[in-house]
Amino acid sequence: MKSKSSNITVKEREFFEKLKNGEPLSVSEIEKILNCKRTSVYNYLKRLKDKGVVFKETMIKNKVYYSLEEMQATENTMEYFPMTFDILRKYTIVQSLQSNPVEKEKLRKKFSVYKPNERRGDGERVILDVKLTHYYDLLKSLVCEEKEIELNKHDNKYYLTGKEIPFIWKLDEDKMETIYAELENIPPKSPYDKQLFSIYQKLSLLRGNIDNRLPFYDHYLVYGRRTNAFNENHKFLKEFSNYDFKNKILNIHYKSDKEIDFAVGMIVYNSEKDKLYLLGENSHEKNIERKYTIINTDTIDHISETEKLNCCYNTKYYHDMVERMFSISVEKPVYVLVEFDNILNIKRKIRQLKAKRKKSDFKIQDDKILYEDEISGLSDFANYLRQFGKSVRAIEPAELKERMRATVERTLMRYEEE
Amino acid sequence: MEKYVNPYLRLQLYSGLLVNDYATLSIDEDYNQGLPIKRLHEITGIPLNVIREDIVIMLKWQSRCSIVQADLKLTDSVLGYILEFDFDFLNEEDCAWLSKIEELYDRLMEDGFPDELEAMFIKGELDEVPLYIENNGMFHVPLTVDEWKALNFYKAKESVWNQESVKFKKNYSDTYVIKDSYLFHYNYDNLLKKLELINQAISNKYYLTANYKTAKSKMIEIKFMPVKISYDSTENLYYVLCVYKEKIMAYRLDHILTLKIFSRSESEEEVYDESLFDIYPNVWGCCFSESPEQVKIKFYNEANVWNKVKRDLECRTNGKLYEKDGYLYYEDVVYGIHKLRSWIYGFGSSAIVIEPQSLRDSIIESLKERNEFLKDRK
Repeated sequence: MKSKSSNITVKEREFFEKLKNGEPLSVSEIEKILNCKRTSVYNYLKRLKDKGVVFKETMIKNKVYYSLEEMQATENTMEYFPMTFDILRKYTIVQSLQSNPVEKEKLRKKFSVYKPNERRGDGERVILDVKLTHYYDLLKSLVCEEKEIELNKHDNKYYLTGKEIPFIWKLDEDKMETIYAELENIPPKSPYDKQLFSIYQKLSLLRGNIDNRLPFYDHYLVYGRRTNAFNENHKFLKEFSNYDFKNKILNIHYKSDKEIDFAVGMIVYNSEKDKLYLLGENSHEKNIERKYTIINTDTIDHISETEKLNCCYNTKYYHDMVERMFSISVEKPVYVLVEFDNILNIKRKIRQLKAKRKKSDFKIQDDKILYEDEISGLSDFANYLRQFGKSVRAIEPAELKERMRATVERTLMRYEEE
Repeated sequence: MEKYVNPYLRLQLYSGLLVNDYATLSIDEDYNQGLPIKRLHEITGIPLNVIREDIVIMLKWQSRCSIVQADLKLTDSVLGYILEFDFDFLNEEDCAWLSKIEELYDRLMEDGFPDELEAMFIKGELDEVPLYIENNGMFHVPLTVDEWKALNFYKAKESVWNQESVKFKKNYSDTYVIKDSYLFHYNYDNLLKKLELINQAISNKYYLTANYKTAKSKMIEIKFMPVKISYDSTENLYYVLCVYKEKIMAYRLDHILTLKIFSRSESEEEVYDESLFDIYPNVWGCCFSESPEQVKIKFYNEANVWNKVKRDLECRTNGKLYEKDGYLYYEDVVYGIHKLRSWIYGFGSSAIVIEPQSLRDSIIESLKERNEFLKDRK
């Protein structure tokens, strides 16, 4: 029963999501979702009815199916998952990791949870009103079900994941006022504006101001491309975190007809393409030229876990790969040398580019700018160079020159056809 | 607005709002410390009965932990929070009722949670009593992973934030990384001071004076009353806009070297025609004062061109984007045709200009020059 009670909130959420989606559910289906007995289901439904939830009961083939009547516009408390002792206990465990990750055995010793032969009242401990078995149940719930904590197998320490429980940023008054004043001036639809606005709203609340709008919203005229996908990343990541992708190879079906046994090296959000990608390795491919793969998460149809181990997650190789790629690519990096006309905005753009690219450099020679770099993804780099029109000339490598030349030739042909 | 259906988020919210250190900022100046349940409900929108039940559970658990602390003889040990009533706030005329509450609260910490107290909470009889949590004068701001990453890019240069950022990185099992666009270079430290001043000037109709570097690198002094700020999210460029003789003037923010308030507007009646800005979806590169030109461009359906075009043109609400005969067409009136040309070049052979003829001719000429150059270099 104790282990079940620590699971109930997660199960309730699943039940509630199905109801909100309009799914009629039989009692036996609800039993399976909530992982409890029939009597408990009836008690749970009664508690919800007492809170004002109105169910529609439909008889289909001698079985009663429950679905939701239209929700009350206000004061619908069903949506609010209850606070329980176990929530408070788990929150206390999570808070202890806010300052630092903690080794496995040292975590327990932060709390008033003692092993049988351990001396009580020894040292300062955070109070937890549970015995050892229940403590381990709470930890298991946090690690395996709610995934709010993760045990890193390399250093044997517990880390926060930030999945549902946010990190606490502690600010004194001066810092809070400074960042509040700065966030007031962030223009709408600038990069990451939704997240920055959310922080602004939180700070507003702490300052006793519940006005939701940015004060200078009407001052701005914004145009240019939007980055909407970043705001949706969390939806995919929430589902994906149900798989042990850090430690296990996944079987992934994508682009309708492709299937791969995939070892995830890294998950990357590319802001230029406004997409979330998986970088990793095809575990069956021995040829080093072909084994590295990118999967656009939008194209994934189905995922399952295999029993094979993933040894390449978050390794230095993938960090270096992300550093070298111009946009998104797993190609081997190549040396590039490009000449630009030193006019108008070109110098500003090259300066910006150099600030982003660690291995790049540029020199100004009279009316020319020479830019060199080590780039993975010549196709993306070529796309970038095209915007400069005749003010850019690729010098190395030959492949880049040939791409630029072929584009010019093809474009001319298309103009002649038109 | 956040709904706080997640109980963990509600716990963090209560920790943040039920502050007890009013030497600095108070959430609500009507209270000495903390907030009552009724006020929490008004500020957050969380239903009253949810907050009541949350507080009851928190106090019950606090009571249980006090008993554990006494049993284990733990000293200086910590509960995640200490939730207290601010009895001093209550009206002394209700002293019989007040004594009863105080007595029940004392029992809570020693004998467990009294049923009578729970009933009072659930019925709403204690909705007006302020509650607070010890928080040592610090404000607790909960950050999701996405918010932390966004703040990381925004505050990239500032050293204070860098320390915090390192801490976040150390504590978190990071799930994804951001490959930021090569288009963006953040220099928010300098930029935000200017934006703050300009926003002030727009709100209060102040004139500003600035040292400004022109396109030809000449330094000039300008005086202007800003009316809008334009932001080009593709180029990551900010412009301050003003109106002079019924024309929109645009000054690049990164070319403004010094900026200060010059004076308030001399006439309260100084107005401009707002409809001047109706053309902004047609303006490229903030070239408001250039002559408009009708354009028509054809896009081939290859690579990811169509998706990229639709994304880039989402803001061009005065134009037409439509499919015909297997191609995507964009028709619009454009101010700043040379900026549009750079954008078209970025699509290589997948974008062909149909109109205007002048733009089409200049692109073809440029292509021919490049073709000759590349042939020579072969």
